[in-house]
This record gives sequence, structure tokens and C-alpha cells, in this order.
Amino acid sequence: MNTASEAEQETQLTRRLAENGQVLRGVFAGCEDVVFHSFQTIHRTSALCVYCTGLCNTERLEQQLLAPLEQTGLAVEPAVEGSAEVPVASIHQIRTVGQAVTAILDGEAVLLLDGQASGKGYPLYKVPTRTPEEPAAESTVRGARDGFTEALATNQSLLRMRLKTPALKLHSNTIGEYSHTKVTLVYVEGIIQPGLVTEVNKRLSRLNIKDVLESQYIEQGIIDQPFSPFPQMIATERPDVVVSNLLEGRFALLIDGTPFSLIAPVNMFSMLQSPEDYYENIYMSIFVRWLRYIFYALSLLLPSAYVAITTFHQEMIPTVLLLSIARAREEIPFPALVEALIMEIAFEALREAGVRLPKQIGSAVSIVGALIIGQAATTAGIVSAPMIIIVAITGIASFMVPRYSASIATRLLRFPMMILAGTMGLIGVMLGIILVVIHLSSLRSFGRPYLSPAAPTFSKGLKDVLWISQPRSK
Amino acid sequence: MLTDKGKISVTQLAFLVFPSILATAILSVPGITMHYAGHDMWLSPILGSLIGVTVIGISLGLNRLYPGKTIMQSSLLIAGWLPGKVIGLGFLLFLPHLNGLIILEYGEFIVNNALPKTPLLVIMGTMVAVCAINVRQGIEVVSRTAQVFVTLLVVMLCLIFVLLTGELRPAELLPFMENGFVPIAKGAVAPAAWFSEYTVLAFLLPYINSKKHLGRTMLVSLVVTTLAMTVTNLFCLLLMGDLTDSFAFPVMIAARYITIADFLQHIEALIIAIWIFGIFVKISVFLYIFATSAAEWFGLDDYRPLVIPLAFVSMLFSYWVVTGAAGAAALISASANIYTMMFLVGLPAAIYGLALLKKGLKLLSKG
Repeated sequence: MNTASEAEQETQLTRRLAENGQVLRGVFAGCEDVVFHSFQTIHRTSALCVYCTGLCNTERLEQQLLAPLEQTGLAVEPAVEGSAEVPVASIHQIRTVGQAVTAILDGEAVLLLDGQASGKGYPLYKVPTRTPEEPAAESTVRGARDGFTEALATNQSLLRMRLKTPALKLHSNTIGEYSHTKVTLVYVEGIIQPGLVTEVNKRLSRLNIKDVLESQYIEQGIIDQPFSPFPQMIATERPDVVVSNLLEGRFALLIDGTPFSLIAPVNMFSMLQSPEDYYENIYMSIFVRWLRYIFYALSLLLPSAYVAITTFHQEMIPTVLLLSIARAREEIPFPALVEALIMEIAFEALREAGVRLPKQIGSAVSIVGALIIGQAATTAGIVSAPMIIIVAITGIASFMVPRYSASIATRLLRFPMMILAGTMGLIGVMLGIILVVIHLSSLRSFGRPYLSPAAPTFSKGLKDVLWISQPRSK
Repeated sequence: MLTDKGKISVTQLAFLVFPSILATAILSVPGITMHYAGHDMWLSPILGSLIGVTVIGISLGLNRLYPGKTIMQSSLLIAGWLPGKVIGLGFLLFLPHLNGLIILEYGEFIVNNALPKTPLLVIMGTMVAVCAINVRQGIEVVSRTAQVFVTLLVVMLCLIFVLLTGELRPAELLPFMENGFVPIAKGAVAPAAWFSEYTVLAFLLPYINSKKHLGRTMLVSLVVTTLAMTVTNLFCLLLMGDLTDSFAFPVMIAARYITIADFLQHIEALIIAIWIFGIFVKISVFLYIFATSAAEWFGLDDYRPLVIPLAFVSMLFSYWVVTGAAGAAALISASANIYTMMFLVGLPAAIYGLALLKKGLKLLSKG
């Protein structure tokens, strides 16, 4: 498409087949996968069928389009517009060169006949796809086992399967100068806040990117505050998560080519909710949810609190505990801050190594990490055992966050926090917390305050934050 | 024309006002009231709250007569352009004094209790910088941070009180009214000065989005504040008795009494740490008022460019208002309290009186 100029895109197809063919061949020069199949119909009209081999289902093309036209004559020649000539669903008219090019790249077979100024697109897609599997990053004990795939059509059907109502609206945009990725905006009419849909479409249309390989490409371009470490959209692979969020008045973006869909507007607390909170016993869910809040705070604050207390406020530690910490730290050459920084950085490095390595070697990393960093460093007197415990708890705490992108923020902010703790003690930690809260208070996700429903308070929403709002039978 | 487009709810306003009075009051009031009122010091805040009622009345009244206008703007309409500007200038000269004092109180508090070797400049400077960042984000963000922190603050305050109940000695209450009523009234001057800070309403009321339940919420807020102050005084009295006024920050001493299961001891550092939240909200509110008032006085459209310079001015004033600890003690004593009340009660009351007079004259000439 980029080889064709704007003017060429708008060019109308002419009545002469040879001319149309030439233009298209020019556009697709050098594209081996685009096939130009010239033939004569049974009624002696010259015809040209253009399609892309990888994307178009050649078997169906043969059986349903080419064979009827060339040999059997079963198909009425598509002379009359709008008549159903071949048994293929949703055929559409093509009038310009641009439309033809788009249709071919989408995987349609485009049929041009001599003497007609319009062609037809037959959607005989054969998109390489996989069957829906349980998403690896968001597994649940109880709950649906299907997840989104890379194919947009599958994802749409997974949603429609769960929301059988005409109020579920889907609206597609094409984004990406080169990739022409389909991005579908999904929402439930009547529940979604009015004005939100226009706002999203406005932001999507302002996007100017070359390609969309992952949902992050879109997210980065349309969120309110791109320079925040906190995620302003939920990325999920689970259709049930999308559905429940749609019913809470949010919208979702399904993106062709990635199993991750985006949900917004979100708030801080939705980052700490797991779909399973609603699938299990209510008391357990409330317990787990509060555990998660506490550990989320710990994942940000635990190392800095340890540094602050051991460096500045030793009197806060009970005597017996203080003695054992002092004994452990006796041989350590570093101040607590340096010790904490070394261990946290080592932990982050281990984690990154574990993610990038092939699965077979992955276990080697954990052995090296546990043995060398854990065991040897303590025995050698480089790092104290309490520090290892702190780092381990912090690590577990950050794994507890159900949304991976939300744990990124605390992982990053942990380091400046430790430095504040090492320089000003608990006062520094408090100043750090204040700065984080100021940032969270000023953050908005598609116009909605990030800390709502807590600040500003909405009592109805707050109920779902403090405990669980459960569906009740009438 | 307001210099900030943000709007807050009445509840958020209450969350803003609560620490604006209490954050420093809880630290200083027990000692001062003890000094004057002795054993009956817990009655002083209740008496002092009368000033609170007055000031809330004035603020609400001014807002009813001139809706959508801060006291800086309505004074121009009430007293005329030039006298109005002079009144405004009065506020502008007074506010850095008050801000400086609050900042200094914070600095002294931290130096005394947590970081004795850290220079004051670092402690106060970091806090003022953080507050300036907060204020620059606008009233909505200021009130949201207040909501988060005040919730923490209230939980912690309740926790201290609950954990201390076992240590109380109710006998300290006696003898009741030993020297009659006068010492209580004398002791009430200091809490009254803090209650006069309810005048922040006159500056903040135009930012609320709906006046529903406004009066009621403000009265509830006043009751809660009075209650908190009274309970704090009572606890200090019942824990330390006559010794209360020998400490600069009796509440911190009270916190040292807390032990949980012989394990959790000396949690003052944590209490100081959380108390920082309250002081942060207080400094933010007053810095916000200072910045918006200055912007209104100069006729600017936006107050934001003024925040950083005025934060710096407040910082300077914290050095200029007093010389040394002795001066600081003098500034939270009687004369300083009267100085504060002159601006926070006297001036608004005069403006409101003039406004009522004007309204009365207008009605007379009409009818």
C-alpha cells in the first residue's frame, strides 16, 4: 500500500481488465506471495483473480469460486450487482485500487472481470491461528480455561459467546502505517459512560505509529500520562476478565496479532484484583485481597523500611531481635543501604535471567541464585541473612500482584525509596510515600481519577475495594 | 474568577480542614493548656471550639452572600477596591508568618524526636518541596492526598488511644475546677488560636462542587476536631499528670508508654513518621491558600507559577519568624495566639460585619 501513492489509492477501477491488472501488478511488484490468476470464464469473459497465498484459503478458492466460474458454470456470472453468485458469505464491492489492495492484504480473493468497473472481494480467509488455551500468565484454580489468541476473530467470538446481547458493540479501527492492524473497540452500550467511546476513538485516530506488535504500542499512545510507572490500562488474556470489566462500564481494545487485550478506565485497586476473587468463597477472597494489598505495600516499602530502621531507628526493634540482627550484621563490610541495593539488584538480575532463558536451562538459574547468592554470600560474610529474608519476602510480595504491569511500578520505585531511607531514615521513606501518593492522586485513566473509589470516595465502589460485592439472587 | 479550575466535594473539604487544625495542635496544645489550666486543661479545647463555631459561621455567611468568591475577592466587593486590596495585603503579609511557623514547628518536631543531627534546612526544605509539588497539582490532588493520609492518621490516632487505655490513671482528673473557671478560659486561648484556622474555609469554600450538607458537615468536622483535641489532652493528663507541660511534645512521650505483648515497643518513630502525613496536608493547605490568595491579589489567571517562589518565601519566613527555640516557645504562647486570631478571626469578622451592614442598608433604602 505504501508503494501506491495517495492518488493511486483513490483511483477508480476501469472497465478494462488489462488496465486494472497492470495497476495492481505495479503495486504488488516484488510480492511473491500475491498471486495473479488470469482465466476465462465459461462464458468467455476474461477474468483476473488476485489473492495472497498465505492468507487466502486456496482450497476453498478452488472449489467455491474458480471451479464454478471456469468449468461447471454453476455460478451465474457476477454481472448483476448484489446477486449471490457463489456460496461465499459477505462478498463486497470493490471500486478503487486502494480497496482492492486492502482486500488482498486482508486475505480476500479479489475477482476482476473484463468490462466491469468494479470487482468483488471474497473473504476466504485462512488466518494462521491456534486454539484458545489457558493463559500462562494468568492462571486460576477455578474459572474458565480459555484465553485469547492472536486471531482477532477468535477473540471476538470468545467475547460474544459470553455476552449474548446486541448491546455488546464492536467497532474496528485500522492502526499502523505499515501493519494495518485491526484494533477493535468493545463496549456494552447503556453501561459505558457516555462520551468515553468518542474520546477513545479520538485518541486512537491521533495515533501515528508504524506497526502494532503488542498492545503496549497502543497503550503507550493513548493513555493520559505516558511517563508514569503505573499502568493505566489492564492488559489481559482472559475473556472473562474483559467481560466482567465491560459490565462495569469499561471498554476493551482487542488487537489483531496479540492475545493481550487492553481494558480502561482502571484504578489502582483493579490492578490488585484477580478474577478468581469472585469465583471462590467470599471470606477467602476478602482475606486474599487484603493480603494482596498488604504485600503490594510491602513490595514497595519492605527493603527501605529495613534500611531505615536498622540505620536510624534501632530502638524500634525489640531487644532480642536487635541482638540477632546485630550478630548477623557484625561481619558485613557494607552499610545496610549498600547491602540492600546489592541484593535487590542481584535479585532483579536473576529474575530477568530466569525469564529470558529457555525453559530447559531456566532451573539452572534458580540453582545458581539460591546457592551462590543465598548460601555462599551469607557464609562468606558479604550479605547478612536478615537481608536475604527481606529480599525474598519482597520478591514474593511482587509476585503476588495479579497484574504483572502493576508490579513493575513497585519494582522500579523500590530503589529511590531505599536511597531515601538510607539518607533520611523513616522520614525519607514517608517523603517517598507522599511523593508516590501525590503522583497517584494526580494520575488519571481516561479521565477517571486513579485512586477512585478511595479518593475521591464513591461509597458504592469502595465496597468492592474493602471487601467483595457479590451477586445476590433476587 | 478562581485561579484553580478544580472542584472538590464537601467531604473532601472536611478531610482537608481536619489535619489543617489538628496536625500541629495535637503536638503543642496539651503542653500549653496544661501550663494555664492545670488539671482542668481537658476542658479548654471545648471552650476554644466556640471560636471554631464563630469562624465557620463567618466563612459560611460570607460564602452565602458572595457565592463562588474567596474572602480575598469578596473583600474587594464589600469594602471597595482600595480598602479591599489593603485587607488582602494584610492576609498576604500574615500567611507567610503562619506558614513559616508551621514549617518551623515541623522542623523542630523532627529534629527533637527523630533526626537530631540533621540540619533543619534539609528537614524543612524537603518537606516544603514535597508540599509545593502537591500544591502545584491543584486543589483536587491536594484533597485526594489529604483523603489518603487523613484516613491513615485517624486510624493511627485511634490505635494510640486504644493501646494506651490500660495505662490511664483517672485520679489525675481531681481536683476538678480547683481554681475556678478563669484558668480554663486562659488555657482556651491556645486551642482557640488553632480553631481560628477554620478560616481556611473562607478561602476554600468556592471550590466545592455542591453545597448540600455543607453546614452540617462542617459542624461534624468541628465536633470531631474538638473531640480529638479533648481526648488528646485527657490522655496526656491521665498518663503524665502535672508533668505534661514540661515536655515540648507530650503526645510523643505518651506514645512511649505503648508496649504490645512485650514485643512491639518504642513505636514513636512510626508515629512520628505517620504524623508527617498530617503535617504535610497542613502545610499543603496553607501553601495552597497562600498561593491562590497571592494570585488573586495580583489578578493572575493561574496560581501555579507562584507556588515555588511562595514556598521559598514560606521557607525563609520559618527562619525569620523566630530566633532560636526560646523565640519559638514565645510564638506559640499568648501574644502570638492573639496575633493569629486577629488575622484569622478579627479580620474576617470585620469583613463579614461590613457585608451584613451593607446588605442591611441596601434593604433599608429599598424598603
